[in-house]
Amino acid sequence: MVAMKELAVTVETRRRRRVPWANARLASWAVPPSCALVGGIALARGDPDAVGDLGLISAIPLVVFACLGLLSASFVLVLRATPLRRSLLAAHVLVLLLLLHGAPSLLEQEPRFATAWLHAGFVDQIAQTGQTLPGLDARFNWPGFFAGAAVLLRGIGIDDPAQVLRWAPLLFVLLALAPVYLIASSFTRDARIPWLALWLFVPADWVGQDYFSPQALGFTLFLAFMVVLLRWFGPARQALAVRTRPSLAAESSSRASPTAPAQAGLIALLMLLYGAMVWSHQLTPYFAVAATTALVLLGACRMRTLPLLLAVIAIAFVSYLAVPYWSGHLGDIFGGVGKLGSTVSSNVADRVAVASGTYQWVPRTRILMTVAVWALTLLGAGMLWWHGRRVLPLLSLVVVPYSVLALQSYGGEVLLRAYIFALPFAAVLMGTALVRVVDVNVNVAAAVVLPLLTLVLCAGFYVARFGNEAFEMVRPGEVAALKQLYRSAPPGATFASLDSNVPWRFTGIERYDYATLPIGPRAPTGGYLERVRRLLAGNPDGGYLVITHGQIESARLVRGVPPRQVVELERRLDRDPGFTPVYRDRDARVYRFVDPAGVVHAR
Amino acid sequence: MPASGIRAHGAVASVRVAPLLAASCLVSVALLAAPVPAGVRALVALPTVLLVPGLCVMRRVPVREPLVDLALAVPVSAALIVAVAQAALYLGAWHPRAALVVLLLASAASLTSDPRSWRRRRRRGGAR
Repeated sequence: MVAMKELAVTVETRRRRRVPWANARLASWAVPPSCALVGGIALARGDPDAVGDLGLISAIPLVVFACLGLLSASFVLVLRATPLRRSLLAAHVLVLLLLLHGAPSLLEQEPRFATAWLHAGFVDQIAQTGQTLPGLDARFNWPGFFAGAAVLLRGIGIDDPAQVLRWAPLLFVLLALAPVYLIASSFTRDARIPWLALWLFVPADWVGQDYFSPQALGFTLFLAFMVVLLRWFGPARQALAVRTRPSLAAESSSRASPTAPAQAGLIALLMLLYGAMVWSHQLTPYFAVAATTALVLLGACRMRTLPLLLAVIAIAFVSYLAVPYWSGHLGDIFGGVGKLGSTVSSNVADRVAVASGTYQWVPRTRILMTVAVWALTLLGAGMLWWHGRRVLPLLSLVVVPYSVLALQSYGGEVLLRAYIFALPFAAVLMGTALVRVVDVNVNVAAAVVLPLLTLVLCAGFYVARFGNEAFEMVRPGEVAALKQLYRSAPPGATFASLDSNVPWRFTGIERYDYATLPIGPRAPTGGYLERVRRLLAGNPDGGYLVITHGQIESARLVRGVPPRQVVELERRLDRDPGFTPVYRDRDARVYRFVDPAGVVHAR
Repeated sequence: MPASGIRAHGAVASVRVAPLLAASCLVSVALLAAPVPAGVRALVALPTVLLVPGLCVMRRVPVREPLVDLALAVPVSAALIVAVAQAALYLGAWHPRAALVVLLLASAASLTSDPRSWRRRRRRGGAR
């Protein structure tokens, strides 16, 4: 019987080798470096000014899509080959990562996203003073990431964090790849599923939680935590195996319980990773507690007391070391408990409702991407269930992150967080669903279906991930204007803006007052100017009004403010004797306010 | 065959590689102390600080899979950097460069000791 099976495998392998373009496998070695080179150069030579209402996709050269198509066709070929060439598959995944997540780093002149610049300011504050400012911003109550980055950057002597901000997103997604592969291989013996999981994880990771931020570090630590938990304390690997050909089975690895000293070492490792999570980000530990609890309840984790221990550590931290956060804000923290409807509304419906015109397709694409990921995940789970496999432990890891939705809206972002924490496990189920496509005997089906799906996912990724690029992109003039402002403004001055989307506060966050006076779509410009004047006149240290291209785009796309409203405002500012332009270029304008009574507050 | 997917020595930070990693720690410490451009310092010290402390821990945690070592090295290093930074903050001893030097020297010291001989010594002690 065994001999017959081996014979069948040999015949199957020979049949595959006869396929004409399967011989082109050798050419696949040339595909990843060629695509990286051609696509990378095309992106680096791209025009950032071409970014439109759909975001970065308008500026992506067509040759990049050609590279992505070629790469995915080659990936399918390599995946269908036996034995699997792991290094070649890894090269394909890395190039996919570069062309998708590295696109803005290659195309744009400055690091993107105002919040990343703000986080650089938090790091600068700790690096300069060795002090946190929990009263200034709630994020200082979880200073692990900022303090760690401060030690790293200040210790090495990196004073300008621009390159760190630019490449951090690529690095954080890169760091997720090996853990996602290991998590996937913890659940299956089919060696192709982890590669498919990785291939789908890269474009499905569109939520943008990978910039220079505590949650990016938290997610990295969470994945490492889950790798240790699943590989040494988790369910048996064959639990999810689906009809694996012997030639494609993963290398055998003993999965018996570790010895007592080894177990102690692994628990210490878990605690180190979890401790850093607790110190760095307020939400990540609860995803770890939820995932561990689900595994224990389903009998898929041998450490039954672990969830309790993790919960106690998280609660103890909040109770003793994050007092400034919760004292006086209990209503904000617990006000959302049980209000599932309003949380979903603030996460989904409100975001779609505010968008207008072409930009509406950005939130719609995000919803479509999420639905596609859920559909593929459920398909994979259904297939496993149909084959009588134990799917609940893995499915529970996909579902439990969404339980946080019942607790609070987290500023309308909790759905994004839940999605990203579910994605590594969803990717395994998606890979399980699609491995059958790769197995289809008709070569054309395999050659067309997966590459086409990849291309659709990649296009969806560019829109969903970088759809806000018109205002999240940081332009060189904006950085130059703000650097000049910090050089010239006296400490204590007030900086005002028309929209919160400004890449400021990257230095001296405690030295200045910051205020955003949102300009309305139909408000009279004169009335708005009067509000700005009143705000700036109230500060004896002086005041500045900062207008950047990103603010104008954000106000236009998100709040429907017509650009002529800002043009009219600038015309009035130029005529107003109280405002003196101190910086002006195509990307930014800065006006210094001088009291109309003749007292010059700002030096 | 060692028990349970686990063996007594780190897969990546093996006996042959450990001296190289220890040397990179010492070179990084020297660069941190020397008046060299930040770019040069970052080129050597940044990857060392992000990889080697984690590999040292993985060496003590008996795991036999190189991919696991590599996958966990950076997160574990990051966790150690966070721990060191938190300690410096809470103790009011904020010296970022000194914190990095301590971490690198501890890693170098850990790499120069062989966990297998440490375990053998402990077993002998236990037998007596």
